[in-house]
Amino acid sequence: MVEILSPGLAIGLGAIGPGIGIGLLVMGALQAMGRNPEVAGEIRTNMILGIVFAESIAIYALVVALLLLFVGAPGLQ
Amino acid sequence: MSKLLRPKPLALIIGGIALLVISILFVRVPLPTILLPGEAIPGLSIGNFQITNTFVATILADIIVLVLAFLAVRKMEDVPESKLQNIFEWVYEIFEGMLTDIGGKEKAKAWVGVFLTLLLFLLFANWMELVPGIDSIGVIEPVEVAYAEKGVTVGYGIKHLGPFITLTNDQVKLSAEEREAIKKEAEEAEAAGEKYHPHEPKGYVLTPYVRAATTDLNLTIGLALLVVIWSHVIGFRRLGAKYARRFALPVITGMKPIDLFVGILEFISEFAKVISLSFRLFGNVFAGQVLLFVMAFLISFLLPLPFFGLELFVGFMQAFVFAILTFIYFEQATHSHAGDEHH
Repeated sequence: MVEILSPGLAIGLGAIGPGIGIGLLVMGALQAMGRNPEVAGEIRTNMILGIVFAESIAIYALVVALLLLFVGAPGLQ
Repeated sequence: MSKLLRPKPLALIIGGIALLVISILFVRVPLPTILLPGEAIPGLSIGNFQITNTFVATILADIIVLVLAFLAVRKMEDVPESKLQNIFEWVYEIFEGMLTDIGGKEKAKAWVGVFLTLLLFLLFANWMELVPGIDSIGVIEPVEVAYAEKGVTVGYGIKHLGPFITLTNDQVKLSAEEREAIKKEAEEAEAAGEKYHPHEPKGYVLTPYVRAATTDLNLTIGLALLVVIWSHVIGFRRLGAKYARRFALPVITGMKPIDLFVGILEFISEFAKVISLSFRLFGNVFAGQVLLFVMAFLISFLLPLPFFGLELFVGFMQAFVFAILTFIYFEQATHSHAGDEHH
């Protein structure tokens, strides 16, 4: 039971923060693009970079989940 | 709506739906064995060195990049006739401009080579997961052997198709008793100095010859260590002893207490750099590969298609982020400490 629950919780809880973060990031970028369409290209590049950084936090949670799933935590067997 | 009712689009739509239904009902793809470390290919080794499938992929990606680059510069022309040279010049110019915006002309010229090498290598290494057949052509071995060596518990039946052997969709799971028995037998075989082989294999698993190189943590950690250490070497070369100052090394006198904390934080962040660089790349590509596996397993027709597009984007984006972060680390290493300019 714990073996199944723990990876799910790891990725599920770990995805909350980056989800909110990416939402805020895109909101800010789109507002900026709407106000100043001339620099839309530059903003888009930086937005994608920012999304990748925010997403990488979710990826850490995913790596932990995958480790729990395929390798298992020590002492859980 | 009326456009869709013409015979040709209508036939395409109905055909697509029919294929979808057929694939849902009859065509089932076995879920590949998902393992975190690179898998050693059975029966392929140099001496004691087991060759893993991610190693093969690394070499392949190297060869692709080297061959493309050599072909591009074989006959250099002022006004390039060859398409490849044109493409390489275009790529070079785009990224050199981008690096100039970040770090200035001199630094961009100095490190655009490192940047493009990392970018191209990681691009081909990431995109290798998208090549059809790359995860489904390999060596088949009994699931018992795979369990004894790697802990795989799910195998599949096999079928002979002419000279080829293929896995079928009949799933075989090893029960707890069987696992115990296998463990014992494998230990006995090892004690006797023989290679363990079951009398009557219950199922088989497949080890692909090639698996995308960046789905192995060894490659990504190796690359991350390389670029972070390299950035320190560059820092020492350009700034000399001043560079050590940012880590608040005790040999340097005249420090304020706050500098010590900043130095400790700076020191820790060097390890965080290695971890975040390597895990970002590995996590994205590995998760993408698992995603593709699972989608093909659920419905083998049409459903995986958008995810291939997504992975195409993710593969480029991660290669780009790795390379641009490398450049940013190099660039940061050559900044002297903010206060030093006034001393």
